[in-house]
Amino acid sequence: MDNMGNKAFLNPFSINRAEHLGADLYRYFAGDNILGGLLSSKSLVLQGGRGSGKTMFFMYHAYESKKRQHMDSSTKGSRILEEEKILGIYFKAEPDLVTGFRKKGQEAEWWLDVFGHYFNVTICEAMCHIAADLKESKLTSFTDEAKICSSISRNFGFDGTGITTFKQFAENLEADEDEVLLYINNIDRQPKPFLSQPSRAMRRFATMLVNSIGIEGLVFHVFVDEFENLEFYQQQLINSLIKNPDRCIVFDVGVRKRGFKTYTTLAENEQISAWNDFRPFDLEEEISNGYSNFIQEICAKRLRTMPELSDYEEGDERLRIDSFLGSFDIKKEVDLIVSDRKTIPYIKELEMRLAKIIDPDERQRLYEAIAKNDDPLINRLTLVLLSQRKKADQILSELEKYQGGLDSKYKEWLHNYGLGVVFLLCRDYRQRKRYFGYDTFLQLSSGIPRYFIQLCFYAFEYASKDDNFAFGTDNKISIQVQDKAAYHLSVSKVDEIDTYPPVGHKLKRLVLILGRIFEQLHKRSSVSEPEINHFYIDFDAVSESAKEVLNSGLMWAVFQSRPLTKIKSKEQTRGLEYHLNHIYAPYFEISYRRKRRLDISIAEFNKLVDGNEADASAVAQKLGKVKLGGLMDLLQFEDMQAYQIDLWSSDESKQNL
Amino acid sequence: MKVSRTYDAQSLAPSFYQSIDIFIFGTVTDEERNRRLVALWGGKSLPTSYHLDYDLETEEYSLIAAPLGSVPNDDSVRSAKLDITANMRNQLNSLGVQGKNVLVDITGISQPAIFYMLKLLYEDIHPAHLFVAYTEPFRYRAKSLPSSEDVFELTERFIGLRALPGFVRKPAEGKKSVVALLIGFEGKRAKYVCDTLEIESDDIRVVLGFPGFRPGWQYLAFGGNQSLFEQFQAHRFVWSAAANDPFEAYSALYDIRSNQIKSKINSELILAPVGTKPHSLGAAIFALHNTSDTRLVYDFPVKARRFRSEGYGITWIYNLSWLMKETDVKNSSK
Repeated sequence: MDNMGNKAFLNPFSINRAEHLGADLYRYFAGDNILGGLLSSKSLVLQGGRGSGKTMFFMYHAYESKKRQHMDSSTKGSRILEEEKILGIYFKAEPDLVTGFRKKGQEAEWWLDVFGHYFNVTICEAMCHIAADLKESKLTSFTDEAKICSSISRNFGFDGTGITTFKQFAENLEADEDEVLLYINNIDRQPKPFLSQPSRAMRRFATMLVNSIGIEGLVFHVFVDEFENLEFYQQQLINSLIKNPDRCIVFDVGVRKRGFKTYTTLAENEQISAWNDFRPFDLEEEISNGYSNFIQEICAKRLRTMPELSDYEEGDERLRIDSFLGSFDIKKEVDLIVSDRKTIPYIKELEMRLAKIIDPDERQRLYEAIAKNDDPLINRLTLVLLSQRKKADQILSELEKYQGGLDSKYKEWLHNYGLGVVFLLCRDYRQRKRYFGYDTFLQLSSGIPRYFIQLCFYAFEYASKDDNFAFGTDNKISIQVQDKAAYHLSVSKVDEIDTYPPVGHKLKRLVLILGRIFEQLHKRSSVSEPEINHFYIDFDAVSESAKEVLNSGLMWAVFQSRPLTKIKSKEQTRGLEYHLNHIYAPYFEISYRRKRRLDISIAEFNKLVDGNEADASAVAQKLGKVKLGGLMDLLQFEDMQAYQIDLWSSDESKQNL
Repeated sequence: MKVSRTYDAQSLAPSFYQSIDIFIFGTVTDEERNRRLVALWGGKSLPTSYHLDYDLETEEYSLIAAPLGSVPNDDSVRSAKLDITANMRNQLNSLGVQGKNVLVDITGISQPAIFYMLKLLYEDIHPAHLFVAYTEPFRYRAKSLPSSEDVFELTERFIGLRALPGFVRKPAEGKKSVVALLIGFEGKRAKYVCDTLEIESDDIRVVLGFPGFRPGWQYLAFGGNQSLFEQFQAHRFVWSAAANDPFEAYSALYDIRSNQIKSKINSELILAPVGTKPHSLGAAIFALHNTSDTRLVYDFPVKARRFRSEGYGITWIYNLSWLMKETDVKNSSK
């Protein structure tokens, strides 16, 4: 209940992180058909930006989650050892922890021993917990528990005779872990702790446990998440573990794009390589074919947690997120754009274009054809075609065919220029572009499920506040609310870019300038190249500073790269094109579709990244093909306060009604 | 004995300055307020004075003797650089800090260096009296490049969350993580911490600097954090503590932790001082007093050297002498 006594709205999308889904996380896991079978005897390198689902995947496959998933309600015991061949251990490379193993007057080589020991201790401790739990749950007996503990504990310098149970062993390892941290916090006065040999103990421990359990093919998987946070030498250590696979323990990695600082191992002249040593899987790329189904599954699982929807069977239409959001409808959007203005703002421009038609008869007929047409999209498209200097007789003949319901080039033109024309109508009518519909949300989320979940969170939240939406009674989210959600998330995503280390401030500058350029290109009257929202640059040739910014942009999913689709010149024989993440589209009022590309020269790009005020704004002006103002204008961040004010005063405004 | 905790430096008798044996100051930015305390000091005494500089990237510091009112040149600072964890304890010992009256002006010193020095002075090297000074800004300069919702140009770039020298802790296993954000004008810093630590909305507590250094500044802080409040619904759990008072910040943290204990939720408290320096001071002392269930984290912003504050406001002197010996400040007298 809120302070007005109203029942609080339960939002099924309020949680957007795997870590917050609690012990029953497995209930929310989707994509078994896409992601099943990824874990094997070969290491997995799961790549993807923030929110792409890496943590969800690993946490779902961790022991605790799997144990709960396979709980048998009749026996009250878990069937994990009957159902699974993998015992998963989740290790997150916390940035404020792993970076503690550096500097302090020591070199990386020295730190390798300390961190290697710490990692060894942590993983063995996790194995102890799993073994102890399996025993306590009576899933296996571990008759040789004392022998295993005694044997492995000697690797850590313990007197093995006193440690006879996994619990005792775990307690000792935990004390060891604390000792290491105490040491690195007080390196000048604490004695150096006993350091175990990295990897040896955990491999032996895994082998002994698997043999004792006695299930053929059982294997421990260690999921090293947020690999990009690890120091160079720490990555080398994990790479070495990947390079040397073991029957009983496999190391998998979750990493952001460009998150590998090195592919080398600890051995001289040795590297790990994709497919030979690990299976690469790019979540953003590889799920793109089945992305819509994946999203539907994620959303249905969440919607079903609502008490009002919990009785619906899996696959029920009422659990489909697309039925709540509907589809993008260009006609509806055009109607909304033109609805509150009777005069046609582009009429003068149209008259001017018509006046240029030499043949008076042709001019008159085209004028009449336009006048009797009440579809603003078609009329505005006709003006675009005239601006493109297409022949008046061709336009006239195709328009007449179109109006007569016959096959016409207008269908093709609408397909090519339709959405581009909507951007022009928004400009003409001084309206903001609206972003709504399931397919739009899907594309705005750019292959990142968390973005889709966040879009839905705001959409349902606003629906509850603005439209009194309630599950069970309502089944549609209004266009206004969807658009508000999309815009809001977009603004907040743009705003946070400068917190993305290490070059967030440069990244934000680049995004703001590129966004403004694309925005201007969407407003060009001729729409000769509609919906330009990505760019090509020869990565290898740009400055080191620009490379760092691009790499960082990819790591934070500010940009998404794709192989070049259309070669425009001899120089473009290879390389990638870079898409501004579509989640930024509502902020800049640009297209969220993969359509046209802007080619940027090396010198221009370097100036956009690092150039002084005059250079950067001159390049922006050249690329945007209009006067864009100085750098100050380009970097003007729209004030969120004015937009958000209604969020904070919505209750008052409702009362006034 | 009841003693005051906070003094206006301008109103202190010359005997206070005369009692100081060792004075430590910094000039991480070239703001005018970094020199204010020395101006107030005048010629009242000539303590042994040291300039402290810290490099956020390399974790190296320099602590160089510098006569009151002078700043060592860049070359001397560079050539005196040492790793902070490996060397500062020995250096403070060799300077004879133990048993002396020490005044540290934190206005121009980077937070990680303040935190580490406090840790040493709390755990190991005990001065007879420890005072900390902080000079408020008169005003902050508005941003020259308006590329975000922030109002002021305070940070040039972020290194990001990483280990704080002397405060490396593992996340508590099996415990709920509750974060206490001591917020300032830069909302994105608090949001970044929550995003990176993956804190649940219900587990965010906010300490807002109210009253602010100047009338109305609390609104700027609130506005600057609006997207944080909204995204995480964090406006439900806001504590206020005067922006210039480390003790009030400490008390707020104490309350937050007490509430956690009362609610019987097994939790660790993550302290994220992303606001004023006096609040950072309170957070660091709280972390030192509660090592078993708190974690101090920091986002390592690289300060904008040229575009920060203009002029100076009040210079405060905080008496930390008794605080550094106690473990529970809540019931101690003002």
